[in-house]
Amino acid sequence: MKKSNLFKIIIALVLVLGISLMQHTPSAIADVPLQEDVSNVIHIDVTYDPLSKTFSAGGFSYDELQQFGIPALSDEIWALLTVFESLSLRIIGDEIQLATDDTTLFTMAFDGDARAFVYDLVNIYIETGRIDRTRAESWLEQADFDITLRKTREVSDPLRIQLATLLQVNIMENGEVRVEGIPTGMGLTAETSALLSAASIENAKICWNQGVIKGEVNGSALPQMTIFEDGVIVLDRALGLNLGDLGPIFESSFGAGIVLADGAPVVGECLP
Amino acid sequence: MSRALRVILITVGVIILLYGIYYLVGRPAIPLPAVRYTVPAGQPLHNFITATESNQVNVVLNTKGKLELLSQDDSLVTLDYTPETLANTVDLALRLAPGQAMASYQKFVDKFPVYPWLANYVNHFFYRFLPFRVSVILTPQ
Repeated sequence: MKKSNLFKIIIALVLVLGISLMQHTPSAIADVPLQEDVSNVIHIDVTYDPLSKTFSAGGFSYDELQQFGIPALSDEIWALLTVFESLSLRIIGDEIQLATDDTTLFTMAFDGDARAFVYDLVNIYIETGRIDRTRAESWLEQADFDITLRKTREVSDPLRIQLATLLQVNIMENGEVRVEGIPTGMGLTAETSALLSAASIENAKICWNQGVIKGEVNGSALPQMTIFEDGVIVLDRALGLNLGDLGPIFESSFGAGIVLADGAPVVGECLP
Repeated sequence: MSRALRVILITVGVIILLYGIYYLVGRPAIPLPAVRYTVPAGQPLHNFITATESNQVNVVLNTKGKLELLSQDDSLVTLDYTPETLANTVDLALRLAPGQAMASYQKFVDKFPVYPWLANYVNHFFYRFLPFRVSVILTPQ
Protein backbone atom coordinates (compact mmCIF):
# COMPACT_ATOMS: atom_id res chain seq x y z
CA MET A 1 0.00 0.00 0.00
CA LYS A 2 1.37 3.44 -0.88
CA LYS A 3 2.23 5.82 1.95
CA SER A 4 0.03 8.59 0.50
CA ASN A 5 -2.99 6.26 0.45
CA LEU A 6 -2.31 5.21 4.03
CA PHE A 7 -2.16 8.83 5.18
CA LYS A 8 -5.44 9.53 3.41
CA ILE A 9 -7.06 6.55 5.14
CA ILE A 10 -5.82 7.67 8.58
CA ILE A 11 -7.04 11.25 8.07
CA ALA A 12 -10.40 9.97 6.81
CA LEU A 13 -10.75 7.73 9.89
CA VAL A 14 -10.06 10.63 12.27
CA LEU A 15 -12.57 12.87 10.50
CA VAL A 16 -15.27 10.20 10.36
CA LEU A 17 -14.76 9.33 14.02
CA GLY A 18 -14.90 12.95 15.04
CA ILE A 19 -17.98 13.77 12.98
CA SER A 20 -19.87 10.66 14.11
CA LEU A 21 -19.23 11.40 17.78
CA MET A 22 -20.25 15.03 17.30
CA GLN A 23 -23.79 13.87 16.58
CA HIS A 24 -24.50 13.21 20.25
CA THR A 25 -23.46 15.24 23.23
CA PRO A 26 -24.40 14.61 26.83
CA SER A 27 -26.32 17.34 28.58
CA ALA A 28 -24.78 19.23 31.45
CA ILE A 29 -26.31 18.48 34.82
CA ALA A 30 -26.20 20.81 37.80
CA ASP A 31 -24.79 19.54 41.06
CA VAL A 32 -27.46 21.34 43.08
CA PRO A 33 -30.32 18.91 43.78
CA LEU A 34 -33.34 20.05 41.83
CA GLN A 35 -36.88 20.24 43.15
CA GLU A 36 -38.63 17.07 42.10
CA ASP A 37 -42.23 17.53 43.18
CA VAL A 38 -43.38 20.60 41.27
CA SER A 39 -46.61 21.87 42.76
CA ASN A 40 -47.78 25.39 41.87
CA VAL A 41 -47.97 27.08 45.25
CA ILE A 42 -47.51 30.75 46.10
CA HIS A 43 -46.83 31.72 49.72
CA ILE A 44 -47.41 35.43 50.35
CA ASP A 45 -46.45 36.89 53.70
CA VAL A 46 -48.23 40.11 54.65
CA THR A 47 -47.43 42.13 57.75
CA TYR A 48 -49.50 45.01 59.00
CA ASP A 49 -49.22 47.60 61.75
CA PRO A 50 -52.55 49.12 62.88
CA LEU A 51 -50.75 51.89 64.79
CA SER A 52 -48.97 53.38 61.75
CA LYS A 53 -51.59 51.99 59.30
CA THR A 54 -48.89 50.58 57.06
CA PHE A 55 -48.46 47.12 55.62
CA SER A 56 -45.91 45.13 53.70
CA ALA A 57 -46.39 42.20 51.33
CA GLY A 58 -44.08 39.71 49.64
CA GLY A 59 -40.96 41.45 50.94
CA PHE A 60 -42.01 44.83 49.48
CA SER A 61 -42.31 47.75 51.89
CA TYR A 62 -45.37 49.99 52.12
CA ASP A 63 -43.68 52.71 50.03
CA GLU A 64 -42.75 50.22 47.31
CA LEU A 65 -46.29 48.83 47.20
CA GLN A 66 -47.66 52.34 46.80
CA GLN A 67 -45.42 52.83 43.79
CA PHE A 68 -47.07 49.76 42.25
CA GLY A 69 -50.43 51.45 42.72
CA ILE A 70 -51.59 49.59 45.84
CA PRO A 71 -53.59 52.17 47.82
CA ALA A 72 -53.98 52.64 51.56
CA LEU A 73 -56.58 50.58 53.41
CA SER A 74 -59.75 52.13 54.76
CA ASP A 75 -60.32 52.67 58.50
CA GLU A 76 -62.96 49.92 58.51
CA ILE A 77 -60.45 47.35 57.28
CA TRP A 78 -57.88 48.53 59.85
CA ALA A 79 -60.49 48.18 62.61
CA LEU A 80 -61.06 44.58 61.52
CA LEU A 81 -57.36 43.77 61.27
CA THR A 82 -56.67 45.20 64.74
CA VAL A 83 -58.78 42.41 66.23
CA PHE A 84 -56.55 39.58 64.99
CA GLU A 85 -52.91 38.75 65.71
CA SER A 86 -52.62 36.61 62.58
CA LEU A 87 -54.79 35.50 59.68
CA SER A 88 -54.31 32.79 57.12
CA LEU A 89 -56.08 32.74 53.78
CA ARG A 90 -55.76 29.72 51.51
CA ILE A 91 -57.13 29.44 48.00
CA ILE A 92 -56.96 25.80 46.99
CA GLY A 93 -58.72 24.99 43.74
CA ASP A 94 -62.33 26.19 44.04
CA GLU A 95 -62.24 26.66 47.80
CA ILE A 96 -61.22 29.47 50.14
CA GLN A 97 -60.22 28.74 53.73
CA LEU A 98 -59.84 31.54 56.28
CA ALA A 99 -58.22 30.81 59.64
CA THR A 100 -57.03 32.93 62.51
CA ASP A 101 -54.62 32.03 65.28
CA ASP A 102 -54.84 28.36 64.18
CA THR A 103 -58.67 28.40 64.31
CA THR A 104 -60.61 27.94 61.06
CA LEU A 105 -63.13 30.74 60.67
CA PHE A 106 -64.86 29.56 57.54
CA THR A 107 -64.51 27.67 54.30
CA MET A 108 -66.38 28.75 51.23
CA ALA A 109 -66.63 27.84 47.57
CA PHE A 110 -64.69 30.11 45.26
CA ASP A 111 -66.71 29.64 42.11
CA GLY A 112 -66.83 31.75 38.94
CA ASP A 113 -69.25 34.39 40.34
CA ALA A 114 -67.24 34.75 43.53
CA ARG A 115 -64.03 35.19 41.56
CA ALA A 116 -65.64 37.79 39.27
CA PHE A 117 -66.64 39.76 42.39
CA VAL A 118 -63.05 39.61 43.70
CA TYR A 119 -61.60 40.75 40.37
CA ASP A 120 -63.97 43.76 40.35
CA LEU A 121 -63.02 44.55 43.93
CA VAL A 122 -59.29 44.36 43.24
CA ASN A 123 -59.64 46.45 40.08
CA ILE A 124 -61.15 49.19 42.22
CA TYR A 125 -58.06 49.21 44.42
CA ILE A 126 -55.41 48.86 41.73
CA GLU A 127 -54.98 52.33 40.30
CA THR A 128 -53.01 51.33 37.24
CA GLY A 129 -53.88 48.42 35.00
CA ARG A 130 -56.71 45.95 35.32
CA ILE A 131 -56.67 42.24 36.00
CA ASP A 132 -56.72 40.10 32.87
CA ARG A 133 -59.54 37.74 33.89
CA THR A 134 -58.64 34.99 31.45
CA ARG A 135 -55.11 34.97 32.78
CA ALA A 136 -56.32 35.16 36.40
CA GLU A 137 -58.61 32.16 35.82
CA SER A 138 -55.69 30.27 34.31
CA TRP A 139 -53.55 30.99 37.39
CA LEU A 140 -56.26 29.96 39.81
CA GLU A 141 -56.61 26.68 37.95
CA GLN A 142 -52.90 26.04 38.07
CA ALA A 143 -51.76 27.42 41.43
CA ASP A 144 -52.76 27.30 45.08
CA PHE A 145 -52.34 30.48 47.13
CA ASP A 146 -51.34 30.59 50.79
CA ILE A 147 -51.52 34.10 52.28
CA THR A 148 -50.52 34.76 55.88
CA LEU A 149 -51.20 38.09 57.57
CA ARG A 150 -49.25 38.95 60.71
CA LYS A 151 -49.63 41.93 63.01
CA THR A 152 -46.08 43.25 63.26
CA ARG A 153 -44.03 46.25 62.16
CA GLU A 154 -41.41 44.03 60.48
CA VAL A 155 -41.15 43.97 56.72
CA SER A 156 -42.80 40.86 55.33
CA ASP A 157 -40.87 37.82 54.14
CA PRO A 158 -40.15 37.60 50.41
CA LEU A 159 -42.49 35.60 48.24
CA ARG A 160 -41.95 31.87 48.45
CA ILE A 161 -43.12 30.32 45.29
CA GLN A 162 -42.94 26.95 43.64
CA LEU A 163 -44.30 27.42 40.17
CA ALA A 164 -43.90 25.45 37.02
CA THR A 165 -46.23 27.79 35.15
CA LEU A 166 -44.41 30.72 33.57
CA LEU A 167 -45.13 34.25 34.74
CA GLN A 168 -46.03 36.32 31.71
CA VAL A 169 -43.80 39.36 31.31
CA ASN A 170 -44.46 41.73 28.46
CA ILE A 171 -42.11 44.48 27.38
CA MET A 172 -44.19 46.97 25.45
CA GLU A 173 -42.96 48.97 22.47
CA ASN A 174 -42.22 51.96 24.69
CA GLY A 175 -40.12 49.79 27.00
CA GLU A 176 -42.74 49.52 29.75
CA VAL A 177 -42.54 46.23 31.68
CA ARG A 178 -45.79 44.49 32.63
CA VAL A 179 -46.11 41.33 34.69
CA GLU A 180 -49.30 39.39 34.05
CA GLY A 181 -50.68 42.52 32.41
CA ILE A 182 -50.08 44.70 35.47
CA PRO A 183 -47.64 47.61 34.98
CA THR A 184 -44.65 47.41 37.30
CA GLY A 185 -43.59 51.03 37.05
CA MET A 186 -40.32 49.87 35.55
CA GLY A 187 -39.16 49.93 31.98
CA LEU A 188 -36.26 49.48 29.61
CA THR A 189 -34.35 52.46 28.31
CA ALA A 190 -34.72 53.36 24.65
CA GLU A 191 -31.14 52.23 23.99
CA THR A 192 -31.74 48.81 25.51
CA SER A 193 -34.97 48.35 23.58
CA ALA A 194 -33.24 49.34 20.34
CA LEU A 195 -30.37 46.92 21.07
CA LEU A 196 -32.77 44.01 21.66
CA SER A 197 -34.74 44.89 18.54
CA ALA A 198 -31.57 45.10 16.40
CA ALA A 199 -30.50 41.69 17.72
CA SER A 200 -33.88 40.25 16.58
CA ILE A 201 -34.69 39.04 20.08
CA GLU A 202 -38.39 38.25 20.25
CA ASN A 203 -38.76 36.35 23.48
CA ALA A 204 -36.92 34.70 26.31
CA LYS A 205 -37.68 32.09 28.92
CA ILE A 206 -35.96 32.11 32.29
CA CYS A 207 -36.42 29.43 34.94
CA TRP A 208 -35.10 29.72 38.49
CA ASN A 209 -34.99 26.58 40.58
CA GLN A 210 -33.30 27.00 43.97
CA GLY A 211 -30.31 28.78 42.51
CA VAL A 212 -30.20 27.04 39.14
CA ILE A 213 -31.02 29.26 36.19
CA LYS A 214 -31.98 27.87 32.81
CA GLY A 215 -32.59 30.26 29.97
CA GLU A 216 -33.68 30.29 26.38
CA VAL A 217 -33.66 33.12 23.88
CA ASN A 218 -35.84 32.76 20.80
CA GLY A 219 -36.15 29.08 21.67
CA SER A 220 -32.36 28.46 21.74
CA ALA A 221 -31.08 27.08 25.04
CA LEU A 222 -28.32 28.89 26.90
CA PRO A 223 -25.81 27.37 29.34
CA GLN A 224 -27.22 26.47 32.73
CA MET A 225 -26.02 28.75 35.52
CA THR A 226 -25.89 27.78 39.17
CA ILE A 227 -25.67 30.65 41.64
CA PHE A 228 -24.65 29.83 45.17
CA GLU A 229 -25.64 31.93 48.17
CA ASP A 230 -21.96 32.64 48.92
CA GLY A 231 -21.61 34.14 45.44
CA VAL A 232 -24.61 36.39 45.92
CA ILE A 233 -23.27 37.54 49.30
CA VAL A 234 -19.97 38.49 47.65
CA LEU A 235 -21.78 40.33 44.85
CA ASP A 236 -23.96 42.10 47.40
CA ARG A 237 -20.87 43.26 49.32
CA ALA A 238 -19.03 44.29 46.14
CA LEU A 239 -21.85 46.33 44.67
CA GLY A 240 -23.49 47.48 47.93
CA LEU A 241 -26.88 46.15 46.88
CA ASN A 242 -28.17 45.48 50.44
CA LEU A 243 -30.18 42.53 49.25
CA GLY A 244 -30.85 41.22 52.75
CA ASP A 245 -31.77 37.63 53.50
CA LEU A 246 -32.04 35.68 50.27
CA GLY A 247 -32.76 32.32 51.89
CA PRO A 248 -36.41 32.24 50.72
CA ILE A 249 -35.37 33.01 47.13
CA PHE A 250 -33.02 30.03 47.17
CA GLU A 251 -35.89 27.87 48.37
CA SER A 252 -38.21 28.98 45.57
CA SER A 253 -38.68 27.94 42.00
CA PHE A 254 -40.42 30.01 39.36
CA GLY A 255 -40.01 31.16 35.81
CA ALA A 256 -40.94 33.89 33.42
CA GLY A 257 -41.76 34.03 29.76
CA ILE A 258 -40.62 37.42 28.50
CA VAL A 259 -42.08 38.70 25.27
CA LEU A 260 -40.77 41.82 23.58
CA ALA A 261 -43.23 44.03 21.72
CA ASP A 262 -45.01 41.81 19.14
CA GLY A 263 -42.80 38.78 19.65
CA ALA A 264 -44.13 35.23 19.65
CA PRO A 265 -45.50 34.08 23.03
CA VAL A 266 -43.39 31.75 25.16
CA VAL A 267 -44.88 28.33 25.73
CA GLY A 268 -43.91 25.56 28.08
CA GLU A 269 -43.23 25.29 31.77
CA CYS A 270 -40.29 25.42 34.11
CA LEU A 271 -39.65 21.80 34.89
CA PRO A 272 -36.70 20.53 36.94
CA MET B 1 6.20 -3.81 4.76
CA SER B 2 8.59 -0.87 4.71
CA ARG B 3 10.22 0.36 7.90
CA ALA B 4 8.49 3.77 7.75
CA LEU B 5 5.07 2.18 7.40
CA ARG B 6 5.78 -0.13 10.31
CA VAL B 7 6.79 2.85 12.49
CA ILE B 8 3.65 4.74 11.52
CA LEU B 9 1.37 1.81 12.29
CA ILE B 10 3.06 1.14 15.63
CA THR B 11 2.80 4.84 16.57
CA VAL B 12 -0.90 4.97 15.66
CA GLY B 13 -1.47 1.76 17.60
CA VAL B 14 0.25 3.12 20.70
CA ILE B 15 -1.76 6.38 20.51
CA ILE B 16 -5.01 4.41 20.21
CA LEU B 17 -4.01 2.18 23.13
CA LEU B 18 -3.07 5.13 25.35
CA TYR B 19 -6.26 6.95 24.45
CA GLY B 20 -8.24 3.79 25.17
CA ILE B 21 -6.78 3.65 28.69
CA TYR B 22 -7.43 7.39 29.10
CA TYR B 23 -11.04 6.86 27.97
CA LEU B 24 -11.54 3.95 30.37
CA VAL B 25 -10.40 6.01 33.38
CA GLY B 26 -13.07 8.57 32.53
CA ARG B 27 -11.24 11.08 30.41
CA PRO B 28 -10.13 13.33 33.26
CA ALA B 29 -9.49 16.92 32.27
CA ILE B 30 -5.81 17.57 31.69
CA PRO B 31 -4.75 20.41 33.99
CA LEU B 32 -2.78 23.22 32.42
CA PRO B 33 -0.58 25.58 34.48
CA ALA B 34 -2.55 28.23 36.32
CA VAL B 35 -2.36 31.79 35.09
CA ARG B 36 -2.19 34.66 37.57
CA TYR B 37 -3.73 38.00 36.76
CA THR B 38 -3.74 41.12 38.89
CA VAL B 39 -6.86 43.21 38.46
CA PRO B 40 -6.17 46.94 38.65
CA ALA B 41 -8.15 49.05 41.07
CA GLY B 42 -11.14 50.91 39.69
CA GLN B 43 -12.56 48.01 37.73
CA PRO B 44 -15.83 46.38 38.89
CA LEU B 45 -14.01 43.02 39.00
CA HIS B 46 -11.58 44.51 41.54
CA ASN B 47 -14.49 45.26 43.90
CA PHE B 48 -15.81 41.76 43.43
CA ILE B 49 -12.46 40.19 44.34
CA THR B 50 -11.90 42.37 47.41
CA ALA B 51 -15.44 41.54 48.61
CA THR B 52 -14.41 37.90 49.04
CA GLU B 53 -12.92 36.78 52.33
CA SER B 54 -9.81 35.36 50.67
CA ASN B 55 -9.17 38.40 48.42
CA GLN B 56 -8.76 35.99 45.53
CA VAL B 57 -11.08 34.52 42.92
CA ASN B 58 -10.25 31.47 40.82
CA VAL B 59 -11.85 31.12 37.40
CA VAL B 60 -11.65 27.48 36.35
CA LEU B 61 -12.60 26.34 32.88
CA ASN B 62 -13.06 22.62 32.26
CA THR B 63 -13.68 22.08 28.56
CA LYS B 64 -15.89 19.12 29.49
CA GLY B 65 -18.54 21.79 29.92
CA LYS B 66 -18.01 23.64 33.20
CA LEU B 67 -16.90 27.16 34.09
CA GLU B 68 -16.56 27.90 37.81
CA LEU B 69 -15.89 30.96 39.91
CA LEU B 70 -14.37 29.87 43.21
CA SER B 71 -13.18 31.62 46.31
CA GLN B 72 -11.25 29.55 48.82
CA ASP B 73 -12.62 26.39 47.21
CA ASP B 74 -16.20 27.62 47.74
CA SER B 75 -18.21 27.84 44.54
CA LEU B 76 -19.66 31.26 43.83
CA VAL B 77 -21.11 30.70 40.36
CA THR B 78 -21.04 27.69 38.04
CA LEU B 79 -21.85 27.61 34.35
CA ASP B 80 -22.63 24.24 32.75
CA TYR B 81 -22.57 24.19 28.98
CA THR B 82 -22.72 21.87 26.02
CA PRO B 83 -21.31 22.65 22.58
CA GLU B 84 -24.82 23.57 21.45
CA THR B 85 -25.56 25.98 24.31
CA LEU B 86 -22.09 27.50 23.94
CA ALA B 87 -22.72 28.10 20.24
CA ASN B 88 -26.09 29.70 21.08
CA THR B 89 -24.37 32.00 23.59
CA VAL B 90 -21.70 33.05 21.10
CA ASP B 91 -24.41 33.75 18.51
CA LEU B 92 -26.38 35.82 21.04
CA ALA B 93 -23.26 37.73 22.11
CA LEU B 94 -22.42 38.56 18.49
CA ARG B 95 -25.94 39.86 17.91
CA LEU B 96 -25.85 41.97 21.04
CA ALA B 97 -22.30 43.21 20.51
CA PRO B 98 -22.05 46.93 19.81
CA GLY B 99 -20.89 48.31 16.52
CA GLN B 100 -20.37 46.17 13.45
CA ALA B 101 -19.20 42.99 15.21
CA MET B 102 -21.92 40.83 13.69
CA ALA B 103 -21.47 42.29 10.21
CA SER B 104 -17.68 41.78 10.43
CA TYR B 105 -18.18 38.20 11.55
CA GLN B 106 -20.56 37.56 8.65
CA LYS B 107 -18.00 38.96 6.19
CA PHE B 108 -15.32 36.69 7.70
CA VAL B 109 -17.57 33.63 7.39
CA ASP B 110 -18.42 34.52 3.80
CA LYS B 111 -14.68 34.51 2.99
CA PHE B 112 -13.96 31.35 5.00
CA PRO B 113 -17.16 29.27 4.99
CA VAL B 114 -15.38 26.31 6.64
CA TYR B 115 -14.77 28.40 9.81
CA PRO B 116 -18.09 27.67 11.64
CA TRP B 117 -17.67 23.95 10.99
CA LEU B 118 -14.05 24.07 12.15
CA ALA B 119 -14.91 25.99 15.31
CA ASN B 120 -17.66 23.49 16.07
CA TYR B 121 -15.26 20.58 15.45
CA VAL B 122 -12.65 22.03 17.82
CA ASN B 123 -15.36 22.73 20.41
CA HIS B 124 -16.58 19.13 20.27
CA PHE B 125 -13.02 17.76 20.24
CA PHE B 126 -12.06 19.40 23.52
CA TYR B 127 -15.51 18.69 24.98
CA ARG B 128 -15.66 14.97 24.20
CA PHE B 129 -12.20 13.67 23.31
CA LEU B 130 -9.51 15.61 25.10
CA PRO B 131 -10.82 17.88 27.85
CA PHE B 132 -8.41 20.13 29.64
CA ARG B 133 -8.67 22.39 32.69
CA VAL B 134 -7.27 25.89 32.85
CA SER B 135 -7.32 28.14 35.93
CA VAL B 136 -6.97 31.88 36.11
CA ILE B 137 -6.22 33.23 39.57
CA LEU B 138 -7.46 36.79 39.98
CA THR B 139 -6.00 38.95 42.70
CA PRO B 140 -6.52 42.64 43.40
CA GLN B 141 -3.76 45.14 42.76
